Amino acid sequence: MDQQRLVERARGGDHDAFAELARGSVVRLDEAARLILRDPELARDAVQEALFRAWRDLRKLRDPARFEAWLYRLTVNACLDQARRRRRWRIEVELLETDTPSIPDMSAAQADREVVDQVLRRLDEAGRAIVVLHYFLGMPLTDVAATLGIPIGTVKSRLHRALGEMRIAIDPERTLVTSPVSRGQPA
Amino acid sequence: MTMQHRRSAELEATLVDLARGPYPEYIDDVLARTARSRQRPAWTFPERWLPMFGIASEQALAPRFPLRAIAIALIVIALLVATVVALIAGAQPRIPAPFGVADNGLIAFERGGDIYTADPATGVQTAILTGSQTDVGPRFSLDGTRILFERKLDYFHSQLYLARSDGTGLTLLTPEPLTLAAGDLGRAWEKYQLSPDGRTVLMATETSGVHTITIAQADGTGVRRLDVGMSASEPSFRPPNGAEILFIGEGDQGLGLFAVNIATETVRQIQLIPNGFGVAGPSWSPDGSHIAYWMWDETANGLTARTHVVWADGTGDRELPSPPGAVWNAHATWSNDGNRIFIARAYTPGYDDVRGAVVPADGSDFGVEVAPASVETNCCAAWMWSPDDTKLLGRTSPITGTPDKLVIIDVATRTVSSVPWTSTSDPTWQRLTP
Repeated sequence: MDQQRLVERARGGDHDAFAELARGSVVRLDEAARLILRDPELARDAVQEALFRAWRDLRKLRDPARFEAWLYRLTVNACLDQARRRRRWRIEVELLETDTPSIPDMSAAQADREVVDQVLRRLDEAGRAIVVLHYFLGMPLTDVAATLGIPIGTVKSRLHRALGEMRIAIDPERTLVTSPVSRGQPA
Repeated sequence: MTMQHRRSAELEATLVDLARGPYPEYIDDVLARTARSRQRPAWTFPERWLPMFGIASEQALAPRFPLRAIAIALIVIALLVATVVALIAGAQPRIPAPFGVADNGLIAFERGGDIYTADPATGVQTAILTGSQTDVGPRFSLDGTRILFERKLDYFHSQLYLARSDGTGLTLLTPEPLTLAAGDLGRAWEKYQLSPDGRTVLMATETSGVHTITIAQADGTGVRRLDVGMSASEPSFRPPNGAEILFIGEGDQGLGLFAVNIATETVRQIQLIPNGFGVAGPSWSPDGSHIAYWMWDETANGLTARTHVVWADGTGDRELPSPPGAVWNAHATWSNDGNRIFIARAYTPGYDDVRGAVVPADGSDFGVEVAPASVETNCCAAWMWSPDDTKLLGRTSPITGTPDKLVIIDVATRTVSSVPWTSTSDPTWQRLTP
């Protein structure tokens, strides 16, 4: 059965249809939430909340074809809510630029992974949400703006800033982030 | 492939690699929970329970005494009582009336699961509730002597506590954990509040996915759910005595504003909302004579909310006037004198140009815009008047930023100043006797 039919049935109260939709989405939602929150426990809470709200508020969704985008929006909002409620039990790993080690033994892909991870951690959750919605979930920027309820100009500028950091970090010729620095001065 | 596309593809691949994790087994728990929850409320509360209050009354037969002796004795007793009352009243701090203008006291707020108070004049802050627990959403009682807060047990469950305003004398009000349900804005005062007399606490709760109203005794002796026969969200006590509770209801009649009499549990309809419209933020004027709320067209593209004011009996509903170019307004917050309402007023159908405005509650003009768009009174911002009505305290909510900045707006001068503390949930301002 196609997704639209499932959404229509779920909207009519068919929980089995909703379960099929949820099972089909949960891996992607969990991955997106973990990327945004950088914490699997918080991500689990956010996805639980998003799916719960999806079931409860499904009848608010006017266009069944927009179910996936709507679910992403619920998940991102739940992530941002989680971020607002961050507590001491969440250990925020603050990676200082000066602490970034050089990683000569790693493959290029592994090194990129480390750098992207570090840059993602330096962004706030809303910044990560923009990166994740666009690059991980493949949303056009207009949809990212609509999902987050912010102007497209804001999306572009924040994405540009985030990508700039990543490119600087990844580009071997511009090692401002990965190079050791001393008292704020490039070595 | 251009360099940019190649990098985008690499970034996407790296994100996929970073995101990889175990299969989210918790989906079974979620589905078990949703299976138990209803999308639309069909209301029964068989598990409703009431606190047991032992009420014993005995009547004593009064023996006959000489009337003169009784009169003299009564006069003496009255004089003694008056003397004692005068002494006690002189020794204790006076407390403000629950409604109306009061003096400004401390601001309480939460940061990182601890609760602090701070003096807005000096900036000095004091941690009043600390420890390993996650305590959020402090709310001062209307007389400023106590503080109500939520202790989060996990994502869905909380317990409510009441303490003295200095954080001592903790009383657990809800031994059974509850799921608290905020309204559209998620503000702390949408979830719980003390009654005007301070004897009960009203809570917006969620039971099996349905919004419900729960009342707890402020001394921790009992909790009961109020049966209003429909989904009920954003409840609030009606001033000045709290005999009624206003709520957004959704039942057989449709969506609307309703009030329930606490003693009789009789529900009355105040205002039905037209089909296709949403409603949020109902709040009483400080004298309990009017209700402000905002409603919007759910079928429209973009935001269309408009604030309305209606008499408590549902008559005389009127929309607050908007200046040319204004598209929507919402987040109505009454001043303590009941003459003005703070609203967020927007000039686009989104959040691009949202300003804070203070408008006359009688709708006689457009009011004054006191906060520029840069203050970011966007979705989910929380605003409240200072007890003396000269200032507005806000937790701004930029969607893309860190939503923990507190600002104070001087209503007369329209100056906006940042407060030197951050808060991860809504703050509260203590009322003191004028």
